[in-house]
Amino acid sequence: MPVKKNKTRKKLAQKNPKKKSISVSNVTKKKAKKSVGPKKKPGNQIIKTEKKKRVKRVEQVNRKNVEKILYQEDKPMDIIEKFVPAQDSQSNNDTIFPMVISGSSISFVSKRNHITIISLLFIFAFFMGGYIYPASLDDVVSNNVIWAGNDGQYDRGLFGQFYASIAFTMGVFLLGYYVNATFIKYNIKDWNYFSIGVLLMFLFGLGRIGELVFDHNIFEGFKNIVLPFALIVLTFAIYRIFKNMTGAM
Amino acid sequence: MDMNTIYNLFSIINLVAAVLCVYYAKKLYDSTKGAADFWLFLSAFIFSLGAYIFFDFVEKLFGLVFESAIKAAQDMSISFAAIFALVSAIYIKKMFDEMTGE
Repeated sequence: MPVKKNKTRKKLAQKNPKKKSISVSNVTKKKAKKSVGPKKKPGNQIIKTEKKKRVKRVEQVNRKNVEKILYQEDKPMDIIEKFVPAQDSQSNNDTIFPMVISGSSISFVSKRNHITIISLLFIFAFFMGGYIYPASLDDVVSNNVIWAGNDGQYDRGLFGQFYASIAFTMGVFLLGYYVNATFIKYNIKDWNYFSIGVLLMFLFGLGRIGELVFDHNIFEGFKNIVLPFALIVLTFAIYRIFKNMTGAM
Repeated sequence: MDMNTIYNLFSIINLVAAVLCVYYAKKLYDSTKGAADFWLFLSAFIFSLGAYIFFDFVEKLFGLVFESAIKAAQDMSISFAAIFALVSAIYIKKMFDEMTGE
């Protein structure tokens, strides 16, 4: 009898592990079947629909934000449409970010750096101008520079004017930089005129500094010639932006 | 034609352009009132520029009579223009960050 019992126990012990191993392998196989193979499609579809929903939600939020921030109620939607994502846009296919970033015409320079490069070139040109055009006899007689204003006397007023000019030039430069980094980058209508106007204002600021630092009439002439152009371009830009926003004629 | 005459002519052109610029800036500000601080400071920047041009015109008109006061007013208006340009630059960034959700 004990021999029989042992045999039956051994049989049971042999059967149970087999059952367990079969069941575990079945589970793993089922899991494997779920994750691999032709049943992959429903999961992907869920992800796609979720992604689409998220994109739609972000679009709605962005539209609301743009409407709130840029415009009041009852304004035309022609600029807002620019914020809606293009279906075949190059860079935004993988991201949820729906605003279309317009590319730079120069491949190795981003659009926001155009104004920086142009400004640096003009600063360099002004420094160079100091060497190319030394003071003429008339300039020496007029004595209208920061270190000597009224007949060779130290002039505090001109010194203050010098610092005000530096502050103005830097402020205008920063404004131009951020206009380029935002409005121009997203290719919003008519802001390129404003950017050109701001750049001309920057040149006017440089002219004011140049007039005080370099003792030559050419800087004064440059300042006086650039200013009307800058103002006309700025006026035109603001008129176009206003017209575009309100739809007024 | 003398250079001073040309500069006087330029100051009249500047004044007309500045008046138009301020007029449209005011309209732009009115149409976007309360929408974002950026428009406020941008308008303020343009108003300051307008003030500078106005004082420049007055200086050309009156010559040496009020020179110190007018020059000081010009410096003040251009300093305010610098501050408003700086602040509007900051608010452009802020506005676009809000719009893009960054």
